[in-house]
Amino acid sequence: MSAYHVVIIGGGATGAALAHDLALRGVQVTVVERGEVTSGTTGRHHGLLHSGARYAVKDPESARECIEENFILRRIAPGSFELNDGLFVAITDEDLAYYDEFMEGCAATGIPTRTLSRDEALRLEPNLNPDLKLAVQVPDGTMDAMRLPLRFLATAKKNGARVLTYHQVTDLVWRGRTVAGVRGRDHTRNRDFTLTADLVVNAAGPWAEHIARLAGVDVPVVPSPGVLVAVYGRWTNMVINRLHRAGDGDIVVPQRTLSVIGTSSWVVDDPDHLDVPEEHIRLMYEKGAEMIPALAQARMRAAWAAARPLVGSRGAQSGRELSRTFKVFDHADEGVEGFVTIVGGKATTARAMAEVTADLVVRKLGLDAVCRTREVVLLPHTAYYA
Amino acid sequence: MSHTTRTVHLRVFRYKAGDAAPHYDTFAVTVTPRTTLLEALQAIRREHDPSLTLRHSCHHASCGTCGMRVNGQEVLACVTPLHDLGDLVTVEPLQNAPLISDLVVDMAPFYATFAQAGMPLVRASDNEAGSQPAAGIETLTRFESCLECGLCVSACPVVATDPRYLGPAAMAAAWRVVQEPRGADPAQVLAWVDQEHGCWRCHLAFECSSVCPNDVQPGQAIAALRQRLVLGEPAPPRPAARVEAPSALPPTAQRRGLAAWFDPRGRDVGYWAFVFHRLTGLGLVLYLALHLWVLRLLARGPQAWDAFLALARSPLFLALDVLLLFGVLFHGLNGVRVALVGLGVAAGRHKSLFWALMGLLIVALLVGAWGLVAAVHP
Repeated sequence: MSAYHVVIIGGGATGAALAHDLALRGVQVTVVERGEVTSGTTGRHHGLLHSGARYAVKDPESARECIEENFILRRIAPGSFELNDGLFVAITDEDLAYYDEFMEGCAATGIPTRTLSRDEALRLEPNLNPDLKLAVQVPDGTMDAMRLPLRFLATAKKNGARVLTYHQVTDLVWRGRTVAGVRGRDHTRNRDFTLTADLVVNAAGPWAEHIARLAGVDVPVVPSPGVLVAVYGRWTNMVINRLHRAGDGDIVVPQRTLSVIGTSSWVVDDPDHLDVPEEHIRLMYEKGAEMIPALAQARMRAAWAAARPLVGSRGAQSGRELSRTFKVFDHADEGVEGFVTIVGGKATTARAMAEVTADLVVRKLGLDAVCRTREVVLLPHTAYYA
Repeated sequence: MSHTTRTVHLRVFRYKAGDAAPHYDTFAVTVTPRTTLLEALQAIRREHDPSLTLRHSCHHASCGTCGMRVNGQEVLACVTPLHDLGDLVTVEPLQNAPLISDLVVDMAPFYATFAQAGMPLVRASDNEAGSQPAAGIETLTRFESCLECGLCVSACPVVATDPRYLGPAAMAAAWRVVQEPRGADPAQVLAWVDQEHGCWRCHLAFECSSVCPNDVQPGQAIAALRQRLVLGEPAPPRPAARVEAPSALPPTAQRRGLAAWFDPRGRDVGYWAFVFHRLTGLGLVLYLALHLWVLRLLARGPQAWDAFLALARSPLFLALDVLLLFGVLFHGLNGVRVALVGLGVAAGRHKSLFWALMGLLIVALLVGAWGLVAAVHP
């Protein structure tokens, strides 16, 4: 193991995958998280292992990332997914008109598809709206939003990484114009803590801008919440998407004994204060029922909101117009050394985000270590607690 | 609906490493009919006290992270609306787990035992049987129902007194492996639970099943394991103990010990049966001792015995006789239930069985009491 110590701020999917990547490259890693791991955006996402088809037309860069990572994750995290595939269903003539564009997008981004007739689709999923015109099968899946990142963290810990939960970063340690560590509060003992580091990575998701401000730099992250509604019962076994341009309430993900309908999209300043507007819950029911009519009567288990950490300018309206891809910032460009930010992306692409970030980190540290996360099979999530 | 707001006071358990003792802080929160305990605790952290620690992740009762106790009962905070819980709500961490701080407990001992059952996360899907698997999909799958939240372990009165007990979550997982091995060896799992601190330790309070947020029914699973061990194909020679439950929890573990056996607050009917079974058991032992002591009088001759018989006819003594009869009937009838349910007979209807037997108890008690009184005062 090298003598270099990297502190990662944020114990979400990004921080977890990055800890794993850097630990495999022989770097000493400490993850500091102000709450429980995955308690921010990560734990609350839809639970969709994206095929990328949703972004194939409008956001091909993100689509390519999704399909590539989808297949890598199946390999490195076996047993962590409900691998029942997904369907894009055309309900109206308008949906049907989108079909050609959709298929071209999938072909161009390398997403495998299989077109099913109405009757074939209903044989697979009898609860679909019988008005549907056709459906397209894609390699979507269901993931456990918490347990996949736990596998990254478990493996990182095995390779020497430390995870400090309930440690809130409130300040940075400076050596001249170089960030040399973090300071903050350990809420488990009501005491201040200081960690020195050779490099600090800001992986705080929608809170990344807040952390960047501690370094006096700016990162263009737009916290963009969406409402999700979980209802009792699995009304389908496959993930059901609406075959149209990405919009509200157009994905239903079966998960455990539930079905999760999502999402909506708006923009907030404070990711700590997320409302769950009543009209968004109604909208999820309404839109979900257009694809699976029985959802209209399904009993609600919970409704909640999660803030996407989208890369974009502050002028963003709803967040729908912003790409789902990610961006790494080396703040040396703004005159601050030893400080890197990673924002954007999706749970499905967390490993790729970590790879690109870790490449930059080892380059800055002057290490010669290549990424191995495409091959190394992750430990089970239960090992995180060992 | 969201306009009918009210104020609820949350009395929250507080503890930080190094504190001499825990204490409680009370916070006033405004709630709508939809506000969950988790949302209220987040609001407290945001607006009143950023040092409040709690575990949470998925916010829809799928990750099992936000387990805690509300007025004594284990719940997942994310699906517990506060609106109808009264004006003062006490919030405490799970029991039978080492305390880290405030509402956060260490799940390591839980997973140390749970992981040894070897249950895979993904199972064959039992939902939507009408669905045909799509091309390229061999079997439709879904995640297991168990959320690994630990509510059952916190609620179990046997875990409270036996730190080596495998506990309801691990044994429910073991039963799932027996039901659907997915490459595992069920015989090995059966051998694992067939031990002093395994399935035979359960006292059928069924509180595990009552507090389970996802209908896993660990109590019924334990009964099924016993039935399989008694009736099933003979188990192979037991392998060397492959499991070591933690022999003792750190002193910060919120273990209540024997006190948990006699505290049915916020508990379901199975727990009350458990408490009364213990109380009547102790009562019957006490009675036997008294009975032997009284028989000593026989040795002192007829006079002493006649004096005792006069006392035995007094109304107070008759009342005690009726109480004794209740103890005998309860312990006997609930014993029948424990014996049947413990071997998997009607485990799914243990509550109905309890109430049916209690009906029988009332009839027998009335007949017996009338008989007693009639015999003494004809």
